[in-house]
Amino acid sequence: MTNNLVEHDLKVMGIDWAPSTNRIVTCSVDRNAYVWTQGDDGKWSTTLVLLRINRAATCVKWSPMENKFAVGSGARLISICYFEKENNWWVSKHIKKPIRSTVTTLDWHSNNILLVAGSADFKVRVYSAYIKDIEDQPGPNVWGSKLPLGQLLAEFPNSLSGGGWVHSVSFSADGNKVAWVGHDSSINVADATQGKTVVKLKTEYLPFLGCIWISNNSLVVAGHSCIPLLYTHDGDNINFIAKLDNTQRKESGGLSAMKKFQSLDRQARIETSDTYLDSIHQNAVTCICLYKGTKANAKKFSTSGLDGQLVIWDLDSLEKSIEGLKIN
Amino acid sequence: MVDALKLVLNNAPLGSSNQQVKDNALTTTLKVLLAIKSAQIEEAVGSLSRDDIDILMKYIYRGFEYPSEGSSGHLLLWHEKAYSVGGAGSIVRVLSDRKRV
Repeated sequence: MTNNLVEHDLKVMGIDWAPSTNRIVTCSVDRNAYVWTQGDDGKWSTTLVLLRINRAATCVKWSPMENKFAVGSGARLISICYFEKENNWWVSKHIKKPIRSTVTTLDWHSNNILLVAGSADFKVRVYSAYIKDIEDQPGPNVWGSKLPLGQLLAEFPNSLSGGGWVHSVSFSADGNKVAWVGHDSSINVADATQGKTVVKLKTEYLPFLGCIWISNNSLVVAGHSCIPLLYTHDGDNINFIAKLDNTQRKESGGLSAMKKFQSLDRQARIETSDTYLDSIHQNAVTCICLYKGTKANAKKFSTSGLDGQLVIWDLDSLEKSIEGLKIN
Repeated sequence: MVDALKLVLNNAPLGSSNQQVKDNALTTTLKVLLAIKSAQIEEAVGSLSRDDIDILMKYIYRGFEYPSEGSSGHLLLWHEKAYSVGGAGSIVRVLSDRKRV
């Protein structure tokens, strides 16, 4: 371990790293966000960001050009924060309407203007997060033409049966599609080039907590089932392709016969390690991030979960090891 | 009998706020579920669409709330067959969908 960044008083809910400017932003239940910059001596110093929220912050993401970041919160609003040079501090602007509950997840469009937010009010919304102080007026795009800050460009309910918190949202690399996963165990894709129609797949797995595009048509999702899964979107359907984790539980060598007899004797139990899962992650996966490559062409991605493990997955090796798998 | 099942599932009053309508639909659906013999359950489940399986799961759980002679055992058979098609997801949707049966 190289550094301890100590500043927050309560649980840190979100963290994001800006690779070009090498800054880290963190947000916490203590209603604050901090931007961390690394000095020449390798030590990290921190600047407070005034989010002006009266509830916990839940998630944070740097914009692609790293000149601003968005923070979701339990205050039913999104804070868009940017650095004001004259006063040498981070300022925030709020997006409130019409969010009715906690914002749980955020993702930026590659044009640095549009933002998609998922919320506990079962909706996914695409907004403009244009900040006139730091950037030029954006031109129109498939999501909309009038783009003042806070303009709602699209709103999608997670389910027609109502219900299902939105756990994770992701803009595709070209920005035309938004994918999200909800607590009703569904995977959804909305396509702005197809009139913003939504394609929904209700899966037989436990709900997913993270989703990420790895190519323009392929999506990796992971969550309570502890295994990353690969799906593709082809305009009308979302299709299951493969489980990316096919590890089998290993027998613990020569002790297994003894252990089996002991547990049979003491607990009348035949299975000895029935709490050990047949997968690398032993508990829910809460976060998927790109590790190498881009959303248009990912090479590796990482997952972390409630079991405290951080696992890096290599798509090239997975393609070779799984029969008939082709990631396009 | 399988047609009767499809009929009650397709006409499930999910959007209704009238509790009486929902209760009536529940009674009818349970009658159909209990009338279909154990051997025919698998075939019946096989003929249903994914959405129908979700609605079936919702009725199975509602049915557990009102046990009658031997009904729970029969519903458990239904549950097993529906689960093998719908998986954990169909059970999650029983809990997370706000439009209840």
